[in-house]
Amino acid sequence: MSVQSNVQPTRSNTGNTQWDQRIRRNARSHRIEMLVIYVFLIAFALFILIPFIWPFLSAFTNKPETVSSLYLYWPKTLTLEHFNEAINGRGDALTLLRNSLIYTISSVALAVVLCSLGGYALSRGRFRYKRAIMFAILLIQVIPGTATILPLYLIMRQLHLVDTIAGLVIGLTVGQLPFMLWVLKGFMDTVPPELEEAAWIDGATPFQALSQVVFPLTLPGLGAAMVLSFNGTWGAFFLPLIMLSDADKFPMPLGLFRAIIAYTNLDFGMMNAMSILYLLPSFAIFFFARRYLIRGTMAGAMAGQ
Amino acid sequence: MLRSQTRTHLLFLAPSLLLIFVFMVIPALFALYISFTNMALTGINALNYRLIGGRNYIKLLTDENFRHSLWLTLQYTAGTIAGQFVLGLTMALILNRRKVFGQPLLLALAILPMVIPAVIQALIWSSMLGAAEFGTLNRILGLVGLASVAWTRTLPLTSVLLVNFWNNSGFAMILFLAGLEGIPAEILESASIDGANGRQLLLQIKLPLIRYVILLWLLLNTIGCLNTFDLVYALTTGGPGNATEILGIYIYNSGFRYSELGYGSAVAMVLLVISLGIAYIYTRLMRVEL
Repeated sequence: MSVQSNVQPTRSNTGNTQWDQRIRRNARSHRIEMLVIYVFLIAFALFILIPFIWPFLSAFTNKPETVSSLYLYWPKTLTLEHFNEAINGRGDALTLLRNSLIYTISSVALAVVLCSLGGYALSRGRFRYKRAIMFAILLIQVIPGTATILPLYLIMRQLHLVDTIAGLVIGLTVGQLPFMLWVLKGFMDTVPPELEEAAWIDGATPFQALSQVVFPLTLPGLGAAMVLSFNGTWGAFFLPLIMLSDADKFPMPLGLFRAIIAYTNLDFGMMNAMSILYLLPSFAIFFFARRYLIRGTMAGAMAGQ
Repeated sequence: MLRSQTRTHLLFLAPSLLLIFVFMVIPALFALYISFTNMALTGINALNYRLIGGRNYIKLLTDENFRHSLWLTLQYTAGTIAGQFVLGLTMALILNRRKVFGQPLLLALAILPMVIPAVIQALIWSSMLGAAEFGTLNRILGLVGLASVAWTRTLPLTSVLLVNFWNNSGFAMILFLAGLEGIPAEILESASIDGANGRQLLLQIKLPLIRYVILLWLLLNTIGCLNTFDLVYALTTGGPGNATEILGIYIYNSGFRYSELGYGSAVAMVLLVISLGIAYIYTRLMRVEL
């Protein structure tokens, strides 16, 4: 497939000549066209941004007595009280965040180690049934998680993994494996095999060749895969919902969801303070690792092409 | 040397394959088996279940709720795809041309919702979709003189679709944009020298040239829609009533709320077959060689 994987617009010459001709042909219709385009772009930007007003407003300000915290209001004063309530009060945000961190870091780390090894094998290996295995891995990705959840739960119960940290970590890890194997295989393919061959001649074992030669060279790709899998695991909701009943083990999304379901007169100021704490890593990814996110998404999308 | 290398490679691959086998392949096969039994999650049929032939599947055919759920899932999928396609393609076409002010910012904005976890999306949209005149969308409607809408109550599917347009149009956009940037400038130049207008250029040159990207996106998005659970469940829990009970939620409810593992697995099998069928059709269309 001849698709440029570089998403950042490269200001190619695409359409320029045609563009210039059109300007000459009809400057006025061009102005109208630009107006339409900008109206559309502004509407789009507002569509994306407006939903973010309420969580920040209600988390950082005091609401007037008479209005519901579920809706937008004119703030009276700034406050950090909602954050105080979220962390030190009823919110118990630190426990939820700690749980989320444990699940996410463990399963991302596990997936990265397993898939670096597996992806390397798929990239370099010349064993029988390799194509069949790769096709099977691709096919498995098509199977909806909701379709296998009932037996998965039974298997987890049989293995005494229901309502355990280990069980959830395994479940979250496995969900990432097929995709990540493909992505990392793709990134490993870009490292010339001659480099490892040189390492072997110098007496390195295959594992050393992988960990000291190939691995460092695939770091950008690995970073992309990690950002993507962090993003996915951090937001995981379905599997924790199925697996966990002990509130002390809830990750943040499940804790928030249970609170929303359980209480009718919920303090959304506190809820949004918790959400914002929970969103900090997501925003960090957005601001500092957006490129990785896009690259990982594209690499995953192109897997098997 | 070569043999020991192969052995190392297989050793590297083994843990991943083992985990995939135990926690993905076996559940899929197990679901097929359970769908022919009367297994329950709890109670007497949890242990003393037996094979009941195709009775679960016969029940499916006559079950009003299943038909509703299936139809809803198709509407949900078609609606999501149509909306994200139009929005994503329009954005990609605009950002693909030069001289659009604030281009990097818009690109970033379109991606922003993709990092927001589903439960938070549901939370922040519950304020947007508030039923009273205080809901943000209703206030916007009020500004232009329109009456309030009880979004999640009277237009549940539309509400869910709206959140979907918001959260994932960016994905369509970045894929389509990458495709458009890959079109050689000479092709577009020679077409416009030959007198092609903007519409012809789009329909006869640009879209056909990025058809693989479009098909790929369709495949990923269709599978994603069929597999949806998180956002819809967090936003509406399938309600009101069963108005947003898409197949993922229907399976969950069958198994975990009504304890009917056998019946739920039969539904899961239908979902599985649809997913595999769609993947097959798309890969044939794309003529992917595997």
